[in-house]
Amino acid sequence: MVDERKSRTAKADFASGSEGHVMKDLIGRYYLQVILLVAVALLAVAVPNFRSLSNIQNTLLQASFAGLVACGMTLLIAGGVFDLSVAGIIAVCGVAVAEILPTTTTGVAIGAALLIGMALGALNGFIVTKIRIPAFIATLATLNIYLGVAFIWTQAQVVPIVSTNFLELGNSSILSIPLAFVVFVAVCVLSHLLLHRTYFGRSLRAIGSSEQAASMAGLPVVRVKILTFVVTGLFTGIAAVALSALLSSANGTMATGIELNAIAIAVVGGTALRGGQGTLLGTFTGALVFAVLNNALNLLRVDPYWQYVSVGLVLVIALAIGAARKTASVRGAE
Amino acid sequence: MIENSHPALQAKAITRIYPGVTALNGVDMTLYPGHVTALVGENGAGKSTLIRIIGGLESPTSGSLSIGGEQVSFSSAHDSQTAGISVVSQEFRLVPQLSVAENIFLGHEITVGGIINRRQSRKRARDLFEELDLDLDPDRRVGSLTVGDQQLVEITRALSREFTVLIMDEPSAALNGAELDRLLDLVRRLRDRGKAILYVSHRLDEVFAVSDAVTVFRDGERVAHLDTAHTSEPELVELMLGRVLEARMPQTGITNTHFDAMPLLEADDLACVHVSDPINLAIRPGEIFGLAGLVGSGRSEVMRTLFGVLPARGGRIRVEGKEIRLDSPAKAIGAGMFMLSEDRKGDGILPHLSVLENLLISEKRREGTGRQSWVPVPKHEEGTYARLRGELRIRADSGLQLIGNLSGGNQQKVLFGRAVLSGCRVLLLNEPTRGVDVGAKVEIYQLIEKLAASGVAVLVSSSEAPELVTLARRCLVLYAGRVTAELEGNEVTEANIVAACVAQSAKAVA
Amino acid sequence: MIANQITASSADALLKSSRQTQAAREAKAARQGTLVERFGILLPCVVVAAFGVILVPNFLSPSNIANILVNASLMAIIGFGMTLVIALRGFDLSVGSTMALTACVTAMMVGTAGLWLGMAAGIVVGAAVGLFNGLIIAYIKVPAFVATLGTMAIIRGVALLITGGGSILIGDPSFGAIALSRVFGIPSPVIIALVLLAVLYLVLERTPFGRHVCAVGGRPEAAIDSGIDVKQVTLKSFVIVGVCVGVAGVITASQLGFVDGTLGMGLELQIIAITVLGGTSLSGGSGNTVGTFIAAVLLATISSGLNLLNIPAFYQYLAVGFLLLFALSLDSLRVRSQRRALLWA
Repeated sequence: MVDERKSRTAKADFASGSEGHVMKDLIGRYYLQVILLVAVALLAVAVPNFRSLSNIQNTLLQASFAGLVACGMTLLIAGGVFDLSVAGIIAVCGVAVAEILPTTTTGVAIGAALLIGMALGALNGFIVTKIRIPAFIATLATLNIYLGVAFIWTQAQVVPIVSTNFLELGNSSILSIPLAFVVFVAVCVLSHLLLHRTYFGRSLRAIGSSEQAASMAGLPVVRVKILTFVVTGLFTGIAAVALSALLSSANGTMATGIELNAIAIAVVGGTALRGGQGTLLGTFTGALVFAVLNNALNLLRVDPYWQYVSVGLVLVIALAIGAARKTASVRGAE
Repeated sequence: MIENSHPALQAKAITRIYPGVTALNGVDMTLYPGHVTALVGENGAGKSTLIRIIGGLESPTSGSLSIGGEQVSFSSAHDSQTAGISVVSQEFRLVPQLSVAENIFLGHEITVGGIINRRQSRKRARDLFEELDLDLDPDRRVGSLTVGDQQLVEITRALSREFTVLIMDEPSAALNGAELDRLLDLVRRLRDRGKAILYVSHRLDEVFAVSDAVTVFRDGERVAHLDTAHTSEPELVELMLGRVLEARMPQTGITNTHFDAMPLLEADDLACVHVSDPINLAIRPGEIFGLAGLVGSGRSEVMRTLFGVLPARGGRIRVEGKEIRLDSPAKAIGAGMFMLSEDRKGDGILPHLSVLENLLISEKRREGTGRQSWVPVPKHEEGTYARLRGELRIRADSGLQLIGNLSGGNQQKVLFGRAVLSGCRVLLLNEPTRGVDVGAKVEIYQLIEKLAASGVAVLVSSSEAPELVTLARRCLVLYAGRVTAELEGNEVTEANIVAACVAQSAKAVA
Repeated sequence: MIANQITASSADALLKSSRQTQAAREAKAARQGTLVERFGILLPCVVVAAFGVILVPNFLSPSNIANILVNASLMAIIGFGMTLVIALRGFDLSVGSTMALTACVTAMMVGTAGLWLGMAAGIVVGAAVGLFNGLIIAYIKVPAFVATLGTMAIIRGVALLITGGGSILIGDPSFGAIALSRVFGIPSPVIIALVLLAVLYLVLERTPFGRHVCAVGGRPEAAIDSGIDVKQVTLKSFVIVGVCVGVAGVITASQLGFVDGTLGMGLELQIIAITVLGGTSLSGGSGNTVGTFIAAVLLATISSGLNLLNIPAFYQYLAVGFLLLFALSLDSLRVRSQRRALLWA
């Protein structure tokens, strides 16, 4: 029987961050943030409209919708699963808000939308864990079911929102920062704390790291997974409320393709697909990166369809880099 | 011994050194056509390494290999196959969704104009079966066959390629009585057809049933090459063990066992998957109980059934006197058990989590005290980590580094600490020192004994006899799914354990 | 205490004959099992057809049946390729976008370079996308569903870009005639689908390549051990599905007469649905091309039925979603019971 020995001294050096490598270390770990700052700086100088307050607000707002969903997606990926049905959840929640608002107060309508989001998330979780269907294809199916529900509810029409209360709230700002973005930041922080500072988050990461080992350690795998889907449903519901406030309407196609954005944000942000870890700072940065990218393309009058291409391309490149690095390294270190 | 002067395979002075370990040291092996050579030896003796070298998966550090008189050097499994060597490995390389014939010819299909010629394939398969006196349907889906039949398909697959040398690595591990007879029959027939066969197995019954010569490996060296007809089981066992039996280490397990206490873990007529005999055991607080057995003995299945990983086919399990139906590890842990599995990498460590988190993941927490039970308190956790790191002597630079950076021995200690923190009263250990260096091994034994001293009932399952001799006061031995020995006190010796691990007819010597 | 040595059974002849009857019984059960697996989809098909005949006016009219068959054929053509990929344990979410791209490219090329060149261009584009997918998945080892999620977006963007977001009208009437033409009274797309069915059935079941695909999907270690080049097999499979999509794109362009970049949105779900419904397991190792065709007919029938009953198109989202969930549950159940059976063996 051969004993595996690893050269621990080399790893130890890295772990303690020896002198002279601090700068390189920092850039290595925060390269995305550096890229974002550099890009923002360049754009601020080169493109005059970029600096205007309304443009900044717009960009931050755009980052919030996909970003909110991406927070939930980050948690799910850390746990080893996915949710492709988010566009459907947004559709149903948004339509719910629009339809319920005329009959009741803003608070109740928002509350109902969030509850619906959580319920749909729970349904996803149930299907994945109890019926044991792989997450990505199960949620592909539920995506269509939820979209169908939204379309049937609205009979494929756009439902307008006229409640001034709701619209004012939804489009308000705090210190010139859009409320949606403030909520996004709060959700990011909350998600970070959840993933890294609670027993629940530790269990989730354990399950994503090795479900077998997590099961052997007695962790409640089914419960944790379902709860994570519920949390994602909640965050997605929040995104739905914010989006419908922006659009002052809701319909079945209001968030088409957002699952791609959410996954791209999480992956580019540094959350590995294999599971076991997740970085909310990365997700936050990733959301901003994509928002800035799209904003730049808009300001430079580039064909809007390039946005599809750019998101997909960035995702594929990030995946390729990630996969290439994995095959090169022996240990799954961060 | 029928030996002609044209060996089919000749390995000379094969040495294989890994960093820190010499797996093979100047080993010779000669295989002749029409001849079955058995290769026996304990775990770690070097058998697998030699097979991997002959099979082209590894290169020797030094030494030479010749096939049919010509020196060869393999750089891949394919090279070895082309040279006429066929290896039947322990895990089947069969595709369950394809038919028997398709599996046999996978990679070298019989085609006509690009299309597989089914009639020819069937015929050729049937021809092969006839030569081997086998009774299989070429069109059956392999996934629907019994394990024994799958084994035969695997062998037929090896046969479908032209070969002169056949290496069988623990071929009988998954077979029962009648299937085993069929296999041995097949081996004899292949020998009669002039093939050179290397039969690697720890089951001495079979060695005597089918081989012409026996080679014994020990600690990476060839210690004997004998005519099967001129040797005996006891002689082989002695050669395999080699060293003079050391005096057993003082067994603290004896003084710790609370003889009048109720057993913490009991199994009544427990029927486990792949184990034909019912398992009966009772382990008391403070006692260390051993479960011995080699590959295919059913040892792991028993452990997994006791922890709820595998379903029990019958019988009862009682923890602290209460009967429970274990259908999941979580339930077992809830009942006060914990298990360290043999596959540390696969279901032991959580690779993406830190050392500290790996240690604390199963910590028994105070239930329902409001906010406190949702959020781990870093200070408290670091304190626990520091305490256990000291007690278990875990060598890690920081609790926050990834557990993958630790050596095997230290990882095992972390898992041990996890078990301790779970507050378990029954601890199941499956191969607790696999892949662990010698120094850590001793420390782990001490940890196990300390844990037992604190009143925990420990069940240690291992394929290493010395380990069980060191730790256990009582020991159950399994061989091919049957219970071949129940040893107590002075009967727990290396010789007795090994003898019962390798054959059915062993006799205990106290 | 030592257990007694067990003496070996000596009733050889009795053992052999009992094993033979047992083997015969097992073989029969296995054959029955495969029959259900292969043709189980026919039952819901018949049920739905019955509903259709009863509930829907003009259901059995020749034009409606032709309509159903043509729509089914379009889905089935892509489905055959998807069957291969899923048997490989892979996945392709980009088929919808790729179909749009091939249709648009064909439309553009037919206008400028003529009929045959235009059609060839479409198929080549499909193959190129498949090649791209295959390279990323096989050689860079990116997981298939996420890789194709990315290419899905890229290709959709490209399709929208080259059409400028608008539609392309195909002026050449002879091109449009292709999709509408008939051979012995059967619409050409159906003939093409049947031909492709025969070809891909043959490839999957009777060629070494097809068996290698199943090996890679069913047990990769066995495939590697047999000397199969896993990367090559993966790459070729994705190229094949690309070609299938190309063919479907060409026929769609011909059928519609005008195309735009938004074609085929949501198509990937339908294709996956018919593949899984048709009996191809997500766990890989086998593919049921005939089942895929039958499931395509089922889906097309439901679509047509809903249309004729004037039920809005978006109800189909629900229908496909539920159907897929149902098929997936069955698949999961089957895999789990197989695993359990192995335990007791």
